[in-house]
Parts: sequence; C-alpha cells; structure tokens
Amino acid sequence: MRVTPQGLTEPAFFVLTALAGAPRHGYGIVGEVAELSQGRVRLKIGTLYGVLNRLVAEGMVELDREEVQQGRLRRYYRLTESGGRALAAEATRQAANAQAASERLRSWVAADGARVRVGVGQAPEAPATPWAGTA
Amino acid sequence: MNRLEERYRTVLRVLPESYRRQWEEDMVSAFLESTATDDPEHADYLADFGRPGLGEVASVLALGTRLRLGIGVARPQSPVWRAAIQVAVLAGLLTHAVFGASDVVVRWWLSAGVSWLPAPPSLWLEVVAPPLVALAWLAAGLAWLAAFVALLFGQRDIARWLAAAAMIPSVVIGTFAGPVDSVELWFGWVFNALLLLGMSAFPARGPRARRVPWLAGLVVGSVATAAIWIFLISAGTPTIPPLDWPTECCAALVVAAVAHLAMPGARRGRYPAATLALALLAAAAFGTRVATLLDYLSHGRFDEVSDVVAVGTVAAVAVLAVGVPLVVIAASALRRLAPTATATVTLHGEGTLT
Repeated sequence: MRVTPQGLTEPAFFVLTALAGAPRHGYGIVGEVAELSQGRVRLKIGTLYGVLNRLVAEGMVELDREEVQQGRLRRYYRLTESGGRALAAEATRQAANAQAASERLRSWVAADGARVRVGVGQAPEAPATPWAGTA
Repeated sequence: MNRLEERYRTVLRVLPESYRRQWEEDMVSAFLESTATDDPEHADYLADFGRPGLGEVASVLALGTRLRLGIGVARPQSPVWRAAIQVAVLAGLLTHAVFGASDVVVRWWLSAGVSWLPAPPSLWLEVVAPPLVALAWLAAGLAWLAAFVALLFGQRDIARWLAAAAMIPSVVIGTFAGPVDSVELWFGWVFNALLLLGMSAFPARGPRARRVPWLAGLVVGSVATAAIWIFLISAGTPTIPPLDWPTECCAALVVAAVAHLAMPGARRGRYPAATLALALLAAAAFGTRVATLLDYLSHGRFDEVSDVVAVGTVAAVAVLAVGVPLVVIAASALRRLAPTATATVTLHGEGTLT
C-alpha cells in the first residue's frame, strides 16, 4: 500500500474521492473507486474496511445513514469537512507534482529534437530493423 | 446464512473482536454484494460452493495483522492524542514566544530606557549578559516567536527549522558557558526536543489552527510578562525574584486548568483532548519548576533563594493539585474511547484543532 508524504494512502485517497460525490455504502465505494481509477484500483473488502476504519477514526469520514436492503444492513458513509480539506490538500499536492513532471518532460524533449518522436504520453516508436517490412 | 457467508465470517475471525463488533456486518454485506450475479443458477452455486477468493482472504489477513500490530491503522484514541499534542506543542511554543517577545521589550527598556516608564536601576545595567550572549538569547527568542507564528499559519516544516535554530544558542551556551550539572538545562533540552518531535502531529501544510485565541494569548502574555519583569526590576528585587518564569508558567497552567475543570462536563471527560493537553502541559510545568528549584538549591546561597524556593514550591504543589485530576480524567476518557472507533474529538465543542 503506497503512502503519500501526508500519510494518505492511494486507497484512502480514492475512498475520499468516491465519497466526495455522494454518501455511499461499502460496495458502492468499491465500484466508484474502480470507475474513478479506470479499473486500476480494485479494492478488496478487507482493504476497504481497513481504510474506512482509519478514516472514520480520524474524523475524515462519518456515518451518513443506515438502510436495510434484502434483510441486510447497509451503512452509508459521507465525507466530513476535515476529510474534504485533507482530500483537497492531497489533490493540490498531486496536481503540483504532475505539473512539475510535465514541465521537466517538456524541457527534456525540447532539449533534443530526436526525442520529439517519443513524445509525452506516446508509445516509443519501434526501432528500425534491417528485416522490417520484408516478411 | 448460506455457506459462502459462513466461510467469509470464518475468515473474518482473524480480526480482533472489538473490530468485528463494529465492522463485521458491514463487511459481510459488502462482500456478498461483490459476489452477486444476475444468473440465479450461478448465484445458487456460489451460495453453496463459493469461497472467498484468495485476494479477499489475503486482504482480511493483512488487515488483521495491521490491526493487531497497530501498523498504519488509527486507534480510536489517536485523534485525541494528536489534537492534545497539537495543543500542547502550540502552548509550549507560545511560552517560548512570550518570553522571546517580552525579552525584547525588557532589554530595550534596560538599554535605551522608555520615557513613560521608570528608569532601570543601575544594578541591573551591570548584571545584563555580555553583548554576544545577550544577542544570542535575543535571536533565540525571536526564532521561537517566528516558529510559533509559522506553525499557527500551517507551515510546520518552516516552524520546525526555526525551532531547531532557536535551540542552538541554548545548546552552545549551555555546553560551553553554562553549568553542565544544571538540571534546568537538561530538562530544557529534552522539553525542546519533545516540541520538535511533537510538531509531527501537525500536517506539513494546510489546515491551520484557530489563530485568533493563540495570537491574543501571545499579545496578552508578552505584555503581562514584560510588565511583571519591569515592575520587579524597578522595585529593586534581587537578581532572582520570587516570581520567576517557571512560577509564571505554573500560575498560567493552574488558571487554565481550573477554568477547564470548571466547564460543564469537563470533569466527566467530555473534552478528552483538551484535558489530555492540559495534563501534558502540567507535567511539563511541574518538571520545569522542580528542575529550576533543584538548580537554585544546588547553585545559590539559601538566604538568596529562600523566597523563590518557597514561592516555587507552592507553585509546584498547585500544579500537582490540578495535574493529578487532569491525568485521571484524561486516562478515564481514553479508556472509554477504546471500544469504539467512531469517537469524534471535540475541543470545547469547537471540533478538532486543525
């Protein structure tokens, strides 16, 4: 589990982001996190409730309401003001990091024209080989 | 309950009982939803023969391990401790800042005189420290003041560097020019090191403490301390006045503790973070008072220090009298918080400090 310098793990960051939209129940959070991360982060239930326990204890998330669905208790959780502030701070930090990296990459590409072919966010071109196109 | 649910509940038994009491039903509900399928035949098959996947089992085992070892998992008392440490660290820095600011005023009065204040007695002009040492202490005081303001404005790392810089004169002068057997010196180093460590309870940047009450404390404390010193010096008190700085700290702590304990519900542990913060500060004030008294007794002549020792002893006893109930109430409140993880921390009903 990756931990950011502020102590917000990547799952915690996504859980807070998922709850920033609306109050959600456990499995709802799992689905929202998968969607937000474009399928890259798929929370296991044990991981989710480890994160939720910590966020609730730290006052970043709180119980919104309880519902009974098909005979089972469903608890909905919501973001607190403190959780919103922590998420905003983390989002600002990540945006600053991304901007710094992008600026450095632009300088790096500009410094060598040959690197332009690689480009930021593009797959490197396949190296030219003597047998290319001869198959 | 179908077999799949039974198997998942069996896996959850690796979690501590207190944790299961709070989260088990939620976890089971979320897990069963994650296995739901639109195909009734497949759903029946899963209900009878399904098992939690390896990934799910591993996540529960990892959670159980972290909970039992206390790694990366906040215990319910943690927010209380964090808020209490934040208050205690800010109060510690405030103390340094107040003495730093009042030191500037008193030295200005001693060196230049202030027309609307009485002239300083000549005796004091002779006992002021050599210029370099005086300058070092002045710089240290101002660095503490800046560290306090930086922390108050959400700049923890800057505050930490300033506090570390403020400690340098104490370490250098204490090591090379001070009495090495000074209990006060060693206690001061430990206290300041704890302040530096305690700053970890603050976020690096971002959420700020409520500034107005702390800044008001800085102004009132600095003016009051400077006024007391100017009065004592003008009145021709001996070099060590009966009301020295550790007694001032003890008096401020006792007043704050009495005001806190007089609040409705405080004695029943309604404000655990504030009570714990005052208990930590009481320990610091008591330690400072005892350390300085030991120094007076070992380095001064008894007839010179008898007044300050008498007043200081009363101050230490007063701190003990309020400190013990604070510790008892804080410990009791923390014990009550232990079984539930949903405790919210309030500081006199104002939410968490940051």
